[in-house]
Amino acid sequence: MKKTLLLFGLLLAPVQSWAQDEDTNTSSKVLRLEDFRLSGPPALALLGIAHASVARPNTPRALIASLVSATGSSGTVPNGYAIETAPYWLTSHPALDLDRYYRATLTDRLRYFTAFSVATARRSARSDSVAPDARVSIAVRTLLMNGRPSTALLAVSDSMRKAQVQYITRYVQWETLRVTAGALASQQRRLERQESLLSTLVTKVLVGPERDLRDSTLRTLARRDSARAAVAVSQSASDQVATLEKQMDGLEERLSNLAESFSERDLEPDGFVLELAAGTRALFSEGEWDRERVDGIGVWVTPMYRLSASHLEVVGVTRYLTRVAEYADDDLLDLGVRAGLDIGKASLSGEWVHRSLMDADTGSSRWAALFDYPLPAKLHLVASFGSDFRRPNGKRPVVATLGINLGLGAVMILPESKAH
Amino acid sequence: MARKAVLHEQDYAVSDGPVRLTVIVGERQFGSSMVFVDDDLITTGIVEDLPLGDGKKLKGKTVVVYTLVTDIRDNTDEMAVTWIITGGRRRSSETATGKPAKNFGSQMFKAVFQLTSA
Repeated sequence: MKKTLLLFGLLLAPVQSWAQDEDTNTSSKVLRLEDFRLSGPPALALLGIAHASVARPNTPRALIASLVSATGSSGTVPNGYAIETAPYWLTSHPALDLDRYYRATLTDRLRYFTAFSVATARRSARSDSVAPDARVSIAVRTLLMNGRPSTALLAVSDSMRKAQVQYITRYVQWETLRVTAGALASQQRRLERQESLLSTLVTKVLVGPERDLRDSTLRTLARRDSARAAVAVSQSASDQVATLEKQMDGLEERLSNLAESFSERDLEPDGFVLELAAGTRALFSEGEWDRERVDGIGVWVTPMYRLSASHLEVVGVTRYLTRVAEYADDDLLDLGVRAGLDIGKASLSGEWVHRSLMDADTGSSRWAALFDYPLPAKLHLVASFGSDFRRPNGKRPVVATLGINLGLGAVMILPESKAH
Repeated sequence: MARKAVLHEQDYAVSDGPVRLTVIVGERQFGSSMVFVDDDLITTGIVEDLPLGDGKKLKGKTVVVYTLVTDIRDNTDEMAVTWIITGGRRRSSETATGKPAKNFGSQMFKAVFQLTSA
């Protein structure tokens, strides 16, 4: 299999370079599905950048520290700062259990899922003597609908419940036994004393047959036997404690893995999810806080329906952005829908988006179909076919690709780029 | 796991009527409980409005509640357990807080209620 793949890879090399040449000529790229859902804070999306790190303070102290360190004392807008925080989670909620969280009312959902974000970025300086302009965006996002726990989450939940009850059962046994096991050292010392005394007495009885010593020896012998029995009980308890501790360590590890899995699956609920985000962007001339003007706004409405048991996901998008640099500061409105379906190991997805340029009063649509099939050795067979938005020069790229994803990026087998 | 449990102990004066127990695992964490009256196991799992028995029969007995909480939140590891007992002269609601030794770890909480006469 490896030899076949190697041969395949060698065959691909010339095809790939041809694809790059074609890309240069047509400026078209391999089709990717649109990021319908906001992958990061909406404030970053408004600036059209992706920061490596976003501060996510979860206490008031951390929030204040982050804001103070970002603003500094220079009086200018910082570069490359991004923060997102949900006010509700800045404080503790000792009465909020999972049941109440999942049966949240609309008011509860607004409290749980509303998050505010701020991001800053600076453009390159126009000259050495002029400070660069800065852009700052502030945005909010929330979930108006949050679906329901997925089948996968419920399965993890059941496994966690069982593992926790197993743990508590062992903990109760361990708690009882460790008292007995804890006496092992003192029981052993007592036994040693009795053994030593008995040895002395036996020697004396053998040398001089006094009756009192013989009685004393017999009593010591009884105490020695009692001490031996006590040590045996403590030793047994100690062994059981060691076994229980080993079992509890294993259960703890299992619970830790399940908890991580729970945390991941909690982010992908079944049913209807409706995310709403909005924000505004301002331009600060030469980076000065007091030289500000509004530079644009953005609104995202993302409805989604997921049915994990049927491996089905449908996502819609309504996106309104003003003063988009890529479109000569025109305003744009995107309306689109995507459906994805897993068929066995393979996944098939398709999307359609219509983009309207408001000032130019023109519109264009893109559509794409993607196919992904996992191969051995963590490789993926990927195929895409579709048509992108019409370019400002009037051309509309059509892309059809077939390739193998090595995990480091796709190696295209049959790239075809045409501008119509 | 740190095997030392977060311990809560208190006396609770019961009346003659039914005594009920609720255990709330807060901070949006995941927890399961095991409830004993003296040495008798009453229930395991989620404990909500659990009938423990009539107060007149429970006087002098000890209710022990073990609750294991597992951290399922990746941005905080705060944990809180609240025990609510009703059926006495007054409703009792007590909360204890704790933290696991590591992220996605677990912590044991133990509550001991000595049921006394009013």
